[in-house]
Amino acid sequence: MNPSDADNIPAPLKRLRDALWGEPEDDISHAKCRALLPAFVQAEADGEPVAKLYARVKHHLDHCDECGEEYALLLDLELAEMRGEIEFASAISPDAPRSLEQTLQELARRIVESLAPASLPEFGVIAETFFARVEQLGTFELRPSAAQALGLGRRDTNPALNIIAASYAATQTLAREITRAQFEEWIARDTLETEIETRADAAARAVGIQRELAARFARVYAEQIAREPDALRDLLS
Amino acid sequence: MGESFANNIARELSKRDWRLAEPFREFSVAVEAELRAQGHDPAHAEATLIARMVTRCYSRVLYLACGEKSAARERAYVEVKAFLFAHARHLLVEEGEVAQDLTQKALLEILEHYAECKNGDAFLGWCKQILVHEHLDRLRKLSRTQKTPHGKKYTKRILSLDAIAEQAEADEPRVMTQDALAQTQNVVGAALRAPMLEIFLETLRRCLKKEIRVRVLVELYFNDKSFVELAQELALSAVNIQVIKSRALQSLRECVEMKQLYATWHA
Repeated sequence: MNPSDADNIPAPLKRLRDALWGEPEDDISHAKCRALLPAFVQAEADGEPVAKLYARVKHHLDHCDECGEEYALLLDLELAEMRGEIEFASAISPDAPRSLEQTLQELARRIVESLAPASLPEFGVIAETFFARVEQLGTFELRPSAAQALGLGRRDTNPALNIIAASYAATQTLAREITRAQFEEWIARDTLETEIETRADAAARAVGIQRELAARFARVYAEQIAREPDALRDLLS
Repeated sequence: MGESFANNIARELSKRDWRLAEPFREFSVAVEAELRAQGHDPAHAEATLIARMVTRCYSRVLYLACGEKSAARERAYVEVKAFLFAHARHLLVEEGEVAQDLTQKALLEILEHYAECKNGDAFLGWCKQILVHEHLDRLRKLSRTQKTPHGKKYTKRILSLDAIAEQAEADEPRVMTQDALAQTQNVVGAALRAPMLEIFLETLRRCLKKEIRVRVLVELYFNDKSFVELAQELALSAVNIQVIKSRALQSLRECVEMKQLYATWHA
């Protein structure tokens, strides 16, 4: 006899029997299952009772390896995202090596996160405006006149703008003043953070950033460079 | 809502370089509403939960922007592309160029089939599904063609994730401790009467040969565990569990002894 005919057996055995030789009328179409998978995965990751909410999807997954594979990979990605294992920041520009502007933006964003998180919502817009303005000024150098034109250091200036400009100025100073050999030597001597902090502090104050903010900025900037030295190393000759 | 709640939202948006949540206040209110709808108190929500709700709400923002004919549309596709690329890189850790190709193919599919996605909440999930589909398609093509000393050999299609999941069954001794074996026994024991239990477990073990397959089936069908719970318990990925489950079910379908056992119970 066909095992699917059996009825007088405990529920767990029935569930297994349905997965093995289940009745086709309970099944949903392949296309319907695929359409429901994103919501199913989201619900499972949220801890919702998917066995009840999506019984027919589960049944289909028992029989269809193609959907089963897709489901399992989607679930792994969802769980990886929840654990913070998907690296978004380094994936922003998949097409080309990162430009100076992108490197600086990423660096400045991390510093804003630490020093002025309330300014994060406007960060993207401010950064875009800043780099467009710098491009208009036509130079990598951020001279005092350019800093003034950008409105840096004023009491009402958005902290994000100050930090972006300070990151720009500090990076520019370091790229001009130190060599790659010197940079490696600081790493070897374990003095990188201190050396960077001193120069970042001076560079930030030179573009009009107030003393206290400049000091706090320099500390976080130096920490970031020590954590990811490649960001600066690539700019050095 | 407090400043730290808004900061958490801003941090999540910033981490992904998502810039279309304008005005921010409105977006923040939407995240708050989403949390409440899920039965959570926004004031005490953990950062990981807030991150999930931000993604869900932003999914709607991107969905709408991708359908518009404005500058926001261009930006939206840049952000979708970056989102996909981050996931592609996670799937293909050591194959950066393949991850780029995969992202590009998935993005073209999304552009072409955008109208088929009807649910803004699940838009990013739908985008991920297209990426995963492309990834599996590539793996399947690879599994069909093998190079031999005599040239290319076309082989029967095997489960494409086998190679990835092979480790799970190879690691069986690590996973199947004595405790785990006893737990399998207990779970089945709670559901079946003693004579039935012994016969069933014996047959299951004879048909499946590997204890990890027995454990996975028992947990899924007798203990009603989800993939998430089981993955956590056995320290395996969902893909590992899927492959083990699929192999186990296939072995049981072909097992005459198991068919006969069910037939006997019915009789």
